[in-house]
Formats: sequence, C-alpha cells, structure tokens
Amino acid sequence: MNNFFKNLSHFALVLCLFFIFATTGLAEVKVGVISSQTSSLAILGQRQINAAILAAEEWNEKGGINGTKIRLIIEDSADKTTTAVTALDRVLGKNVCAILGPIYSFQLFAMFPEVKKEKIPMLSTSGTRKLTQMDNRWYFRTYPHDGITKRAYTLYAVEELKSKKPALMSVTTEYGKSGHEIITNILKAKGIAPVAETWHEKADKDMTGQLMRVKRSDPDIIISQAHPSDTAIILKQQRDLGINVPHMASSAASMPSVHKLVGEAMEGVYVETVTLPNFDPDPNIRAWTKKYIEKFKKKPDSFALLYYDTANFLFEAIKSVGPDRTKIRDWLETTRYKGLAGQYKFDQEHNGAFFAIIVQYHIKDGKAVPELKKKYDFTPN
Amino acid sequence: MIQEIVAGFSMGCIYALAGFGFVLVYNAVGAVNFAHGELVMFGGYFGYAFSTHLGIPLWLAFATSLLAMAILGILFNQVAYLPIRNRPVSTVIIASIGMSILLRNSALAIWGPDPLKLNSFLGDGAINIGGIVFLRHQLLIFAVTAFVFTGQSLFFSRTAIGRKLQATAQDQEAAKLMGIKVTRMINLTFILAALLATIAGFLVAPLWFLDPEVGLAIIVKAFIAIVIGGFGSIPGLVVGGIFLGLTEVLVASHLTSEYKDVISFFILITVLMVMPQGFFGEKIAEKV
Amino acid sequence: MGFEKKNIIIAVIICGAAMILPIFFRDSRYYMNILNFSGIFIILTYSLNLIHGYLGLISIGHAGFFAIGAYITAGLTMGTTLNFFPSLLIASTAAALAGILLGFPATRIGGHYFVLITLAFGEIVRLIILNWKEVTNGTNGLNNIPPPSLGSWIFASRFSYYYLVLFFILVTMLLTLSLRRSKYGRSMLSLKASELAATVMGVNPLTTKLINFGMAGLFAGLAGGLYASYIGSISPEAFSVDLSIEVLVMTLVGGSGTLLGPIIGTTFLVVLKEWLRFLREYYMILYGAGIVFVMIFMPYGIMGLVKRVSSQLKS
Repeated sequence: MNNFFKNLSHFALVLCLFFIFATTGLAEVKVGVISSQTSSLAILGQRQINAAILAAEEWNEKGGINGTKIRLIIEDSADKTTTAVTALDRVLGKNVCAILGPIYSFQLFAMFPEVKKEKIPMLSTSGTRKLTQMDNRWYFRTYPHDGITKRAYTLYAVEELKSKKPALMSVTTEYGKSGHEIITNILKAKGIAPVAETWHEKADKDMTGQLMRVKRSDPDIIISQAHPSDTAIILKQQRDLGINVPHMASSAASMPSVHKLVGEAMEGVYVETVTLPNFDPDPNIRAWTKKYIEKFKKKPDSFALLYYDTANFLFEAIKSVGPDRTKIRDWLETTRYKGLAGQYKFDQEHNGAFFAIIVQYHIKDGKAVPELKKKYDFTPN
Repeated sequence: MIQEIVAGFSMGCIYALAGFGFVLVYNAVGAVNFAHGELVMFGGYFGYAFSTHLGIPLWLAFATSLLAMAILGILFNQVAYLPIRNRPVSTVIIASIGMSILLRNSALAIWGPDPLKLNSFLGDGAINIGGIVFLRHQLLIFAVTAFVFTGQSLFFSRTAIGRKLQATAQDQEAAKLMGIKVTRMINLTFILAALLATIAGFLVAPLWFLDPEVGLAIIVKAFIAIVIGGFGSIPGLVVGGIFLGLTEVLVASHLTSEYKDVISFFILITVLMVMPQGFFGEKIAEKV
Repeated sequence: MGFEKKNIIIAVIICGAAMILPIFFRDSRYYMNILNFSGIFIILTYSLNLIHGYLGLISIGHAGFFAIGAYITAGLTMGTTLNFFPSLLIASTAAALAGILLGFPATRIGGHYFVLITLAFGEIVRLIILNWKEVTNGTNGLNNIPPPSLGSWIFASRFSYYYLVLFFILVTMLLTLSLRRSKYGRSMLSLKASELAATVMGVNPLTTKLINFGMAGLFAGLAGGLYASYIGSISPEAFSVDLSIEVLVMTLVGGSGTLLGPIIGTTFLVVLKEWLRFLREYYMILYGAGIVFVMIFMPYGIMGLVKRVSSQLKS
C-alpha cells in the first residue's frame, strides 16, 4: 500500500513538473511587426520585416529574452490606411507587448488613435517631422527626422559646396513635400532662393520636362528628393541629357538596387543618408550585412539596419522590465542605447536618432562606391 | 523645346506600342483587357529573367521571351477570356482586373519589389545632333514603332491570315459562314497581342525600369492614348499616344509642374468634349 | 400581394440579423473594424451600382466623390462649429453636385470615352487634394478628425459606429428602392435598354441621367464623410485609382443593378481579402484569382447567381 502511494505521488510530481515545463515552453514574448509585405511600398517594407526577423532569431538562438522565446506577429500593412488599421487590429488581437511599425506616416497617423487608446509602445524608422508632434507618448521614432537629414544635405550644399543657385526637384508624396518645406526654409535663412523648383509624381517615368526646366534656370547644384524608382530615372536622364551640374540626392540614391539602374550616372553624385550598411568599415556592421545577405539573398539598406537596431533596443527594454507596455515606454524614454548604426536617445518629442552622413559616389570597376564626405551629428546632450 | 518634343514623341511611341495589343484584342473580340499592361510588363520581366539569370545574349532572350509570352497569352485566353466570352462586357472587364491583380502580385512574388533593369538592344549611349540628345534606345523606339505600324496595315490587308483576322474582328458570324475557324482566330489574336506586348516590354523596360506596379501605369496611359486617338483606331492610337506624350512633357517643362497632371487631364477632357470620338474614332450615334 | 409580404418578412429578418450581428463581435476590435469598413464601402458601392446598374456606364473615378465627402466633412467638423450631421449633409450635397457635373459629359459621350472622363475626374480630385496644401494639408492629411456626436452622445466606439453606418445603409437602400420604383427609375432602365426608343417615348435622357449621377454622388459623398469620421485620419493616398477599381469590382461581383448586390459583393471582397492574410505574401495573388473565378462562375455577380437559382427552383 505504501508503495502504491509512493508511486502515485512520484507520478503526480512528474506530471506537475511536466506541466510547468510545458507551459514555460509555450509562453512567448509577443512583439508585433507591421510593415508592407505587398504593394509598391514593399521595397522598403520587406527589408524591414527581414531585419526584425533576423534580430528575433538571434535572441532566440541564445534562449530568447530571459529564457522566453520571442514570437513576432507579422502583418502586412500594404499601401493603404485601411490595411494598416486592420493589420494593427490583428496584431493587438494577439496581445503583443509592443509594436514595430511601418515607415509611412499616412499609415502611422491612422494608427495613432488606437495605439494611444491601447497604451502600447510603437516604434518606427520614419522621417516625417510631424509624427512626433502629435502628442502621442506611445510613439517612438528611431530614425533622424526630416529636419535633420534635410538640414544635413542643405547645409552641405551651401556650406561645403558653396551653392548660391540651387534647383530643387521634389516628389509629391509626404516625403518630398515635407522635405521641400524644410529645405526652402533653411535656404531662406541663408538668404538663398532656389532658381527652379520642379515636382513629379512618384510613379512618373519621364523627367525630361522637369530637367529641361532646371537646365534653363542655370543652377549650380540640383537638390532632389525622391523615392527609389524616380531617383533612378532623374539621375539617369540628367546624365543622358548632358546636364553637367552637381547633384545632391536623397537617401534612396544610396540603395544598391538604384545603383544597378543608374549605372555610370552615379559618378560624382552626392547622397544624404543615415548609414551605409554595405560599405561601412565598422566590422560589426560588415558582419551584420554579410549575415543579412546570406539569410535573405538581398542587400540591406539603411532602413533595414536601423529597424534591426530598433528591434534590439525594444528587446533590451523587454529584458529589463518585462513585457509590460507602460514599463517598456518608461524605460525607452530614459535609456540610451548603442546600436550598430549609432547612438539612440529619445528627446522630449520621442525623436531617437540625430545622425546623418553625406557621401559621394564614384564608379570603380563598374560598381558605385561611396566616399564619406561629412558626418553630421545633431544629438542633443 | 525640341528636346522636350523628342522626349514626348518617344513616350508617345511607347504608349502606342503598349496599347497596340490591347486594341487588337478589342477589335477582334470586343473585350477590354485591363491586364494588358501587366502583359507588357511580363514581356520585360521575362527578358530580364532570361538575359540576367540565364546570361544569354539579349536577342536570344528576346526570342525566348516571345515564346514564353505566347504561352502566357494562350493561358490567359483559356483561363480568363474563353470561359466568359459570351458574357456581358462588364464581366470580362472585371475578370481582366482580377488577372491584372494576379499578375502584378505574381511578379512581386517572383522578382521582388525592387526596380530592375533590362538592357536596351542598342545599349545606353546617346547621340548628339545639333545640341539635341537622342538616346540610341529612343531611335530604336522610333524605328520599331514605324515598322510595327506600317507592317500591321500590310499584314491585315495583304496576308491571308491577316485578312481572316480582320474578318473575324468585323463580324464573327459572317466569318464563321465563310469557313473561318473563329475560335482559332481568337486564340491567334491573343497570341499576337502577347507578342506585341513582348516587343513593347523590351522597349519600355530600359527606360522605365521594371517593378510590379509598372503594368498599371502602362495600361492607364495606353488607355488614355487609345481614347484620345479614337477607340479601336490604330492610326488613332499612334496619334493619341504622341499627343499624350507631348502634352505631358511640355506641361511639365513650361507650367508649374506641381499641378502638371491636373493640367494634362484638363487638356484631355477638353479634347474629348470637342471631339467625343477622339481624333480618328468612328462617330458615335447621335444622341437624340 | 403574397410576393410583397414574403419580401417584407425577409427584409425584417435581415434587418433584425444586422441589428444584433455586432453583439457577437463586440469584443473583437478586428471584426468590428471589418464590419464597419464593409459598411462604409457598401454605401460607396451603392453609388456605383446606380451608375452601372441603371445607366450601364462604367466609372473608375469614384474615389473622387468619396474624397470630396471625406475632406469636406472632416474640414467642417474640424474647422467650424458644425456638428458631424450637418457637415455630412453639406459634404454629400457637394459630392452630389460633383456627380451632376460629371453627368453632363455622360450625356454627350458614352462607353470608353466616359470611362476616361471618370478617370480624369478621380485623378484631378486626388491631385488637387495632394497639392492644395493650404486647404487640405496636402500629404500630411487631416488628422484627429472628431467622431460624430448626437447631442451628448458620441459615436466613439466601433460598436456604436456600426449602428450609425447601418442607419445610413438603410437610408441608401430605401432611396435606391424608391428611385427604382419611381418614374425616374423606370426611365433609367428604359434608357439602358434602348436610348432611342426611350427618348421617343418621352424620356428626357439628360434629366434622368443627372438625377442618377446626383444621387450616386450623394451616396459616395456620404460614404466618404462616414469614412473620415471613423478612421480619424485621411490623406490623399487613400483616394487613388486603386480604390475606384476596387469599388467597381465590388459592384460587379455582388451583382450590378440589384438591391442586395452591393451588400453582398462588398462584404464578400472585404472579408476575402482579410481572410487570405494567412497566406502572407501570396494572398493578393489568390485575391486576383478569386475575382476571376467569381466572374467565370457568376458572371452576373453573386446576386445574379442567386436570382438564377431561385428562378430555376420556382419553375
């Protein structure tokens, strides 16, 4: 009889241990990832999702966060506000503790009310200035905003390249328009007025009209802001039309896919960007880039690198304070983080990154190679 | 000014070439194929896939693309047109929209979202004549457009097969009575449209680059060119395309380009209000 | 008489179901969202349903009316002391006027030419919104649009919004129904069948078409206003040709010219798109295939199939 009870209690103990083991195995840290898997915005969106996956896998290989695995809940926000909002719903429905969000401000604006209501931290690598002026304490921007990147390249054009007669070519999206405003304000403060200003739609395929207008105004530099496809077309057509004016392009011009399209016309082009993962001499960044290419068979861009830093910053937060939304927010507000691309520290508005670089490209052996011209760091102390 | 005109002409020829297959299908079977832009795009994508991934010379890639596109054309016909050929026009249009979405997202899945480059047969160079820059590729576009459009009128009026296609397009019932195998003619029309789309794709891609959204941009422009020129008219297509191309470029160059597309649209609407049938279209039955 | 009574019973049952439906989904913000978006797009589809179903015309510019309704409603509720309901009324009227404006060229030209005009219209509206920063705030869009309120009651939750949308769907349906039974409705159908014959019989094509377009504009503007106040944040990207094409597909998948078509077509497509999300990157491919499939097997839309089946059952 005693034996029987002894066996039973052993069995019960093992059963208990089994359940405890099983449920800790089932417990996961859930983090939402909302970005564009489809639509024309997938050029940037897919790379960011990949970066988040890479970060999570690295943590999970080492056992996760404090022993619990990370599970990313990935949803496609495509290119509409409605898809972004329903993606947010789906992610929230899985009880995530924080969200890595999409780049595009028009989607973020629509998501803000729900994010505030749900009191969940959301981070993204977006440049649009207004995002951190919406009185949303739950949104964190881990990317230098337009004011910083555009300031860097306008200052470079005026101070280093001594431009007095710039021509501006801008795209009509949020990116182009808010940038245009910032640039013209900085120029005005320096007493300079652009000699020509042209606009184009993101999907436009011919810039001859705009370029001829620019040519007629006899500028000493062309400052452009555009997305990947249109940047490529502008640079190539400028070269084709024989317009020999220095060109200062926005960060899309640092993407390897754009270089493949532009070819020889990249020679001499200045580009503002935040980082250059494919060229940075820093051994950690080189290792990261190599790993990214091996895993995803695609070259990363600076948005991917910063998203990776963002994911890690978030995972560190969860490691310190657990998957508690308010505690994560508080921790993020008060902590400095050193990522691969640079230092992150959030100011009052929740802007977290303040660095930018200007590079110039040269063609070497048929490839576009960047030369670092100047680093700008506007990080407040 | 002249530089802009060159660009406008070149753009216009692209619109005309892209729209040609569309007009053929419409004339033959009365079907509006909204996915035609994606077919042009696939022509370019196949070219990219064969020349870049298989590393074969461009002319061979072109030949293989023609074959691949002919097959795609047949599949398209079998899946999305033949089953609904006797249905109302709207049904066919919606089915073609469905195909457009399907093809666009297939391209995204296969080749990814990054814009890709297809090389031109004549390379990237340019020629300078009296201060005006002509891209060698643009010269190719002019040549091909001239060839295709003069060729097609000879084809349809002088060759036996061309005349049969023409007859089927004009009156299917009468054609059948004359012993023409109508279904075969329809198949042939779709194949022809696919081949033309391949040519258009190889000409568009080096300038516009390839990304999954290009198809939509192409069909919208081609559609505008077709309507302005006169729906169903082939000379009209060329005139309409060039008119559209010139309007876009000249407006962008000389007027405040922030609203350039608005202005272009207004010009188009005005043309239509004045000439509702387009430049070369058949007069619409008088409304009483 | 029996026919009428049966229809009324069915209508009451459907209404009742619609009224209690959200109670099951109350706790899921995701499903409530799908219901509300469907509802708003249903009203937009009724708009195109009028133009295509009764006049046989295709429009790919409906995003334009939608945008007018959205921006005017948002602008008035944010910038003036006007409440949601009067703002919505003004916005819908503006959209109706735009509709009538679009109706004029429709009387002179038809078919493909008209399609182009609608494309131009939709794009012009979008481009003006995009570039007229002073008024529309351009690409930053209008944010923090206040939700509708009635007296002291605010439609802040998705649950309450559902009923607001449902109310307007019913209004839209009743208007469509009464139009169809009215003299103008009959005129429209006769015009569609044969313009020449109808005109000979005394139908004034201009007035009839303008009424149709005006109402279509009204519905679309209504949907736009509801959309703006629901999502709280609007910008030009939402009002592109893509949207117009989606509405066209919804109209035809449901069954053009029918009373229930818009409801069925819209709901089907909205739900399909969301349901397919589990396929990750490939879901849009199947969405496209789904549309082709429906058109092959249900060329007159889902309602078309329903009608065919029910008439076959009767005989």
